[in-house]
Amino acid sequence: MTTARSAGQGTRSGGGEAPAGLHGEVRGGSHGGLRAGLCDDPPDGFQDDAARVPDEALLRAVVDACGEGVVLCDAGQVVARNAAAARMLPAARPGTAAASAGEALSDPGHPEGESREVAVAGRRLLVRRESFGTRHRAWYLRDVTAEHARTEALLAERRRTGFLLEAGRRLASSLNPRRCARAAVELACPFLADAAMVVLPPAARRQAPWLRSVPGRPVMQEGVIGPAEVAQVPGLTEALAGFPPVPSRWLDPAQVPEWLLPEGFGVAAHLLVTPLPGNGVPAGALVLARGAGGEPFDEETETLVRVFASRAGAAISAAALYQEQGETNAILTGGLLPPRLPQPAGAELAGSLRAAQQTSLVGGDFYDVCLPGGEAAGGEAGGEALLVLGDVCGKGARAAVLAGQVRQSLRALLLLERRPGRLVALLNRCLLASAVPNSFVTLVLGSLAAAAGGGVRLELVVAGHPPPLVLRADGTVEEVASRGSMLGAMREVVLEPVTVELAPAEVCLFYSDGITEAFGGPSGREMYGGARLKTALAGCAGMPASAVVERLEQLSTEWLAGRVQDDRALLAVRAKGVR
Amino acid sequence: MLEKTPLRTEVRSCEPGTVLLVLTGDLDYDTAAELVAAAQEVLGGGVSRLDLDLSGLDFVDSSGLAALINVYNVAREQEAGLRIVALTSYLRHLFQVTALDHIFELPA
Repeated sequence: MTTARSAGQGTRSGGGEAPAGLHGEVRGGSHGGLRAGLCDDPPDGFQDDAARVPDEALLRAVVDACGEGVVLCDAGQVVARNAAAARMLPAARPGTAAASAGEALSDPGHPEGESREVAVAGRRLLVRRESFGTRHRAWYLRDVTAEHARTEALLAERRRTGFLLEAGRRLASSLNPRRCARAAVELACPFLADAAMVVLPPAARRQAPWLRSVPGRPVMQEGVIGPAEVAQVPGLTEALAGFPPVPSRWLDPAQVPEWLLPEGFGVAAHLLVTPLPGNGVPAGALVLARGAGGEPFDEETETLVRVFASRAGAAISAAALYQEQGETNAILTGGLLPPRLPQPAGAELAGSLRAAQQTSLVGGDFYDVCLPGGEAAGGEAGGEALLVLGDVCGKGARAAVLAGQVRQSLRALLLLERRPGRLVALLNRCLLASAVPNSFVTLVLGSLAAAAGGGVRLELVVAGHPPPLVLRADGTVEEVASRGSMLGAMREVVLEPVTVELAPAEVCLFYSDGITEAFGGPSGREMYGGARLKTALAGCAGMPASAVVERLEQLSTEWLAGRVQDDRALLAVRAKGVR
Repeated sequence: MLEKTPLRTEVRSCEPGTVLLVLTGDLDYDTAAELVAAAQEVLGGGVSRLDLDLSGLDFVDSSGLAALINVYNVAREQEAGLRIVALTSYLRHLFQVTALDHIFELPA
């Protein structure tokens, strides 16, 4: 009190306002006494101390007006309590034993002055004990029910948010529908229910695959069910058809068939069946069950399950789509990948194809080798093998499809015409008739035959393509002196067929402009160019065809240093020595 | 070629009925469609001759050549003349390799 007064005097502020504030808070008290005892600003600071002691009625009024509950005990008996305490703890009536009010007024061992939280008849109370002398104890009670509920709601919300975040993370980490379904099951159990099952849309023979987990058991259970079993589960047929979910209370858990629940689960007390919405089509259904003694699915949980189901459904559906497209892609690209090279008589072949778009594995560069009489004849039957390396306009899958068409057209035309010049002119007319716009192709085509005195003879046509290089036995490199029109552009093509003889161990290299026009090198902006390629090829003298291709491909990749912009193709023919 | 130069097309009209398109930058897979669109717009305006100045092109790939062929075909449809009035030695080599020098009118 003295301290408070001297502080007030020290600051000399608010002296006139304090009484008004206190007047407002006290109800039914003695205003006169209050003013006299507590709040009159002493005019001189020497007022008599005795005049400051308030009477009992005033004290009672002050304590009664307090929002905090106060219970005063004398030797374990309740002797007084204020209005707030009567509201919070009706059992603590004056004259009764403090202990009969239960846990709230009995805290053996709990340190004095420290608050603890107690649940009393639906309320949450914060209780603190103070001792006055040896007999008197006062209990201070604060009702924190609303705060507690708010905190609990916030924590529950946080748990739900955390759950959804974790769900998003785990569901997004796989592009495999089964793994997505497995993640959904593992997430749902035990957070949402005691048992969780994902039923995927019926696939082959109308059998719907399912996955199920049980808490405490690490192994995921899996199986398939037919339409009859689906119909046994309340709400499942509807959910699999994509109908909106119905509240759990509408589903009778007593109708749940035994097979739905894991062994030893007992009876289901609550059931919730939620559709997994996919991209336009249902992605399956999520079946949740809580066992005997479990809480029913409340509205908040049902909302959470719907949000979770939409995420799981989107993930499963995207994964299913991805898998389907992946399978389709694999089938389509299978025909566009570089062919396995046959080995024609008298020569060895090696090729390399690097698509600019690594993920697609296919591009606009292509090569192909057709043996006389087809692959089955093995080329040993004699006659001429046809070699082609080309580049279609464009990049990626679109270019790959055109490249595939060119290869196929050539194989078909080869049945009618084997002379390289005429064959290429026919291909030009095919391309002009093509429905695909911009069907422009440049290529080198050669017909390969074993020469009489060892080595091979190549009849070459160059159509709008960089002319092949020839590595001679003495290590010199020549460029084939031929050129011609690019194909698919003009009705009339100009071609200059040329014959190249390769002595044993000599190499003819077909390549695409992705090799020579590769920008890279030390500056990153320099073109690899024909001169560098010639020098590199000269360094390959004496190597087998596969080593030549491997070496050149490696040099080109080093030159690019990861900055791949164009498809690159190499095809080497090496004349075998005389046996 | 980490930083690609974009294609720029500048339209100049020198004499009545003739339009000169000056191309600079890269004419490749990413920009080929821009040239065709620009040429179609010019030729749609009813000119009797289109001149192309290619001396400012840094790089032309197969898609770029395809675009030039498309321009040639559009010009033929419109019965307009097409001339290449300037080009780099690299482009001249490219035209020779692809034998397009047989169909395009190149400067001496």
